[in-house]
Amino acid sequence: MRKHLSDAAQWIAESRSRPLRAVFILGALIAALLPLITQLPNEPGRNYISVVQLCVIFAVVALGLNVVTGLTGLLDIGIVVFASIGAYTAAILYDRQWMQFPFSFVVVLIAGGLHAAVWGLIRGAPTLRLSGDYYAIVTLAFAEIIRIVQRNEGWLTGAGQGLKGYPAVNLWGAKLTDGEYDGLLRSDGVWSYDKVLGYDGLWFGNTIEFYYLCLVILALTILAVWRLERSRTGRAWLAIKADETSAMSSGVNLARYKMTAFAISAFIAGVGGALFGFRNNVISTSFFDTWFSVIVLCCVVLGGMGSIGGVLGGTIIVTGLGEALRWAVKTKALKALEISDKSRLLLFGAMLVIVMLFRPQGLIGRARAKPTEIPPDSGDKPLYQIGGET
Amino acid sequence: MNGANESPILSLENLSKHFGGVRAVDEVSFDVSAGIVTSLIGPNGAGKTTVFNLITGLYEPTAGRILFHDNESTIDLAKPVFDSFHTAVVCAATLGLGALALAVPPLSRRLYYRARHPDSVARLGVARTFQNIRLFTDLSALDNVKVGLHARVKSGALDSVFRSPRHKREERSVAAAAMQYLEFVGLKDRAWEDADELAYGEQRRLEIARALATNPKLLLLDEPAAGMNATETNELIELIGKIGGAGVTVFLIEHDMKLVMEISDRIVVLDYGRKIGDGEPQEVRSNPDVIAAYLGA
Repeated sequence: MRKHLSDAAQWIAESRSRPLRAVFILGALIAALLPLITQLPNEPGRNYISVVQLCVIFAVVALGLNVVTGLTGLLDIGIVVFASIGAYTAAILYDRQWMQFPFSFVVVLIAGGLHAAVWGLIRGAPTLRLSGDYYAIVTLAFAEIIRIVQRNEGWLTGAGQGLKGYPAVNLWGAKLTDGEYDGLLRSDGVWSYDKVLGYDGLWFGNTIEFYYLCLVILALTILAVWRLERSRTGRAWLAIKADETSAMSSGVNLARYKMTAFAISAFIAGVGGALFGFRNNVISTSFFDTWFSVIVLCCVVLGGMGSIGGVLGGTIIVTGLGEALRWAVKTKALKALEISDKSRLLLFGAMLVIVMLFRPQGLIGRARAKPTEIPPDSGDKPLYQIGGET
Repeated sequence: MNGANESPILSLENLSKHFGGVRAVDEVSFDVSAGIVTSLIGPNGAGKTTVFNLITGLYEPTAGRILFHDNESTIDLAKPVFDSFHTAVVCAATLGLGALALAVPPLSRRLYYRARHPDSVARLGVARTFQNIRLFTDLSALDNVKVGLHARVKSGALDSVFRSPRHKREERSVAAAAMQYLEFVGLKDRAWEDADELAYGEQRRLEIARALATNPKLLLLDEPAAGMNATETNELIELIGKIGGAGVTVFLIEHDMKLVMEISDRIVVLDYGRKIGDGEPQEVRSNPDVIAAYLGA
């Protein structure tokens, strides 16, 4: 545990600059403490918690996308496939009677991720030789194919209606009963610790445990991606991104490491998608459409491909700003203009163009290597060898 | 370096590579002897880099065979699946369906040709550098060399996520060894610079360090002195001497005749994809075909 904490501390320390570090620590603190304070200054329709939660979930999916697009350098505009597969799998499993035991939520989440990873491999195998635009087109087409299948195979996915309403159980598998459970997020945005009466929003995605679970899962994802980036696997991905030919000639098995990236990316996106489903309590293809992929890609590209800090920053901007604009067009001042809340997507487009023009590496690019002390090899089989003799 | 150890480390047998109608490499056969420096020279477009690409598996030959001799064993880098076209036809005719496939040229080549993938060639002990430097530009010099060490350690993604003992042990030795390779080529102070921030000559040496990190028995250098000034070239000659002295067989393509004549124990000359000369520097220098090819007579 101490080791994990020190890794986390190291990650924060390696963030590019002091202000950025401060922002991340502050952000984490605010996210962790928000449920305690949010019940005070709240007005209907302004739901800070739900926005933070959305940011956290999108950050998980974006970190998944980052593995393929940011680290391995393959443009993926169909990440939604894995999110939706994760969501449907988790929802369908969670609905089963035999799945209602304590912490079954964690089990279905992992199952959703694993199922998504399988589809990541299925999509990956035939596209190993593709790169650039060709790969992007395949990911887009694959996403559409799966979406159409999900929309039509109603026996499994509830077709256009989608799957509605998870069983109202809490993390410990106990029934959430109307009027008895406290710590609920109400639809008018008030986080209530009082006994909730006459309120029908009883679902797990609405409980305070779920909110904190999302934070924990984001933290674990950051840790895993951070460790991968600084490992043999991560170096192979970055080498493939920089130059496939010399990566191969340096002994990197292209097929194997691309497949690893596909599987890990799909797993993370699948877990994120499952969380998204739990949050909404409805899973339908209208949530999981191409826009989902585009927004997640925006998060990654805007913040900085291949940089964890960049992805998190990008997600906060895209998701946070998106939600803020959604409120803004509903305020009295702007309501008269009758702007559709979809118009916020225009702003994303403009932002993306501006960032690409002036900061192609994203707002927060990849951090450069920092000199550290390298102790001499004390192992019994040193790797340094030229011409057979040590 | 003496020529006493004349056992071949690499043999090309009737190697051909055609791009459409262009015979980039045409029926070329020669051996690269272990322990000496062999140079591959020839006018522009003679097919030198194509030969390197065929050896390292980036291209699949049209015909011929590439053999790598490792200690006692001989490994095929590229070979026809069948010994001869005749056996191929017999087998195909037996299979019926195969006969159809043989009629379609691209399919038929897949059917009776096997070439190793570049990463597998690298793992066997054949490393290379590129004519136009191909470093991982957004990685540090140290990380570039660490990628060269990739195939010599084993830890996988799960090892790294959970920081297994194997991961920790391997990361320590990889970092230490990468630093030593950088020291060998004289780039220790530049370890933390991004590869594209290094000077031109340094980038060339970094590429050599990355290739050496795969622990090759045979090192292919594609125009290592291209674009270098006299001082840098002299440093390079020294470095190649050091590599050869350590027991790595060096096989290089070079246009800089001063360098070629100075360090080569043997020279192979290509022109229009065909071998026109092969022998010791003095021999090749006086070969009339070679003189004609170079002077255009």
